[in-house]
Amino acid sequence: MTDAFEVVPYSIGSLKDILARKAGTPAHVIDAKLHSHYFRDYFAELDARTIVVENDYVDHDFLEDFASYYVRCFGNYRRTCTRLHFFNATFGKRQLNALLRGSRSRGRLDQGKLQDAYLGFIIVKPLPQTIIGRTCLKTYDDHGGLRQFPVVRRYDANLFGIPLWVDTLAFQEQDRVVAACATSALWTIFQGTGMQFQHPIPSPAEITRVANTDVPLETRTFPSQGLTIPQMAHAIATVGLEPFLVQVRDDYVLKGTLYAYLRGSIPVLMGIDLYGISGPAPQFEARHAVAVTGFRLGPPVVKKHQKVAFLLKASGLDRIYVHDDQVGPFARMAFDKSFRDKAGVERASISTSLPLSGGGAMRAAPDIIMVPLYKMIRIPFGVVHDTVVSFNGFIERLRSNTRIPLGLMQQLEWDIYLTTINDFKEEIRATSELAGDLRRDVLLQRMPRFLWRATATSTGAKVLDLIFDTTDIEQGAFFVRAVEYDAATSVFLREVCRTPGLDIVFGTDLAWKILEWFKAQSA
Amino acid sequence: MAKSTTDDTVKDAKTLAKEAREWASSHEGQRSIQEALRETAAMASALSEARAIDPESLRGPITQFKS
Repeated sequence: MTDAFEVVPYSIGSLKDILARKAGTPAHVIDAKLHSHYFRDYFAELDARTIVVENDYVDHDFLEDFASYYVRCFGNYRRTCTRLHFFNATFGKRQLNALLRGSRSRGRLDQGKLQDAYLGFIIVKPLPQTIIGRTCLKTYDDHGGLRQFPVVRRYDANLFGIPLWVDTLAFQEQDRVVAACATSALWTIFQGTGMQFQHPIPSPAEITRVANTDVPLETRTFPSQGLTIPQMAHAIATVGLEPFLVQVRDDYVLKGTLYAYLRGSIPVLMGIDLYGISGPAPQFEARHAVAVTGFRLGPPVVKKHQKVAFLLKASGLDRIYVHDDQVGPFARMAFDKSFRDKAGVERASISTSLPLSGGGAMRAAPDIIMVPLYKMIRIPFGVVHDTVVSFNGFIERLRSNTRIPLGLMQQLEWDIYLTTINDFKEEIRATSELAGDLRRDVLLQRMPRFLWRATATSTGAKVLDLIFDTTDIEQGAFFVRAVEYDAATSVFLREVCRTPGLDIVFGTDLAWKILEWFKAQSA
Repeated sequence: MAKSTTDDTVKDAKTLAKEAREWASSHEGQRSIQEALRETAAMASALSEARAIDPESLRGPITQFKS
């Protein structure tokens, strides 16, 4: 009879050995998996030291897939998995046994010490090759705030009565039967939106099934041959969310849009074109789908369009972190090059860990993103961005032609992102940049649940927040208010916006809604 | 390049605002603001075109990719 658990000192060799034994997969197959290489580096960064192997574990998601497909196979697939728990502390089986026996000896292992050292878990599925099931591992260190992982949630793991948890977003490899990469990416997406928007989280088999129900492919549903964009959109709609598509072949559009929704803790599905670049010209290889779950920001780059110059914080995005079912969780993809695609168009390309047969690595050209939105998030990022660009254009004209207060002397840097009323007001309450009646007024003002926030800074100091209502329509009063951090700028804008005839000059330009607000404030 | 000011108190901000209002209400100022709005609208139009979905992206499955 198999022991209920084993305790193994961590090394990449011991991990691979456990994966091979528990899945019943030959060692050379484990060796060849990209995930093995990825986990080697990942666990090195997390300083993993001990693995607790929990045998005969019943995993809900795999059970669903088992019931959907594997149970009807003539061959005898097991229905139970193995769960591997990882810790950055060193201990052995005797110490864990003592904890389970309730021993009170000095220096004993306890729940607190285990939790402090807990790095998360990997479910090992009893399949021939695609064995990496639900994987919940601690994220990379945030590197002093440079790396951001806004889409994490708590996952509980009860180890024989010992409560443990990890803040992350679940990952799993596609099994190429009930799930291809698109399904795996959707499954990760739903892990994030399920908690935020309170909807059920379907298993991979359920996702593939519903995606094919009303929008079927010409071929069979299982084994899955992948999903089209319309099928993925349908899968998102069936959990009660609304799929929002944006073409992202333009680097600026990609970075601005990704950042805006990720900051609002919404994971984004990204369709990418994979190219091999080992030859003289890039060679299109395949389309792939990943779930974008984090980012790193570098210095922003001024966006120039003819005479317009706009500084968007998101333009400094130099790295994204994705759940790539072929690689692992929070896989790094760096924006470091551009190339000409199959149509001869210059496109930004990002590095991947995906190998090219024959040597080299693939590069990814982002093609399209799909954002799963709660129905009340109606105004898209593009509308808010363009409104702010227009308002900024007005400020720039003032800057060039008149004397202006200190807060507007430098080009403003704009940080535009989705947020909630609770997060916004908590930040206002916590900041020392706003005080007195103005702070109180902002905290007391009624606002919708979801907001677009555009923060203008000048040499690092906040000048303005522009707050937009996501639930309204463009033609409506979707501008909520400004938060004025700089007194002189506040007085200046309130006075200037009272200029007679300015409403006629602006006409139907959406930026007028912002000026109208300043005009309505007391001088 | 922005013209500078050495004092951003409320009183001076009102003085600056008065000057800015005079410029903004002048023929030159209104023409300049209209030109700015046309330029930002052109940028918005270009970005809107970049965001628009290419029907080619919707065709065919994003299929399993074997690493």
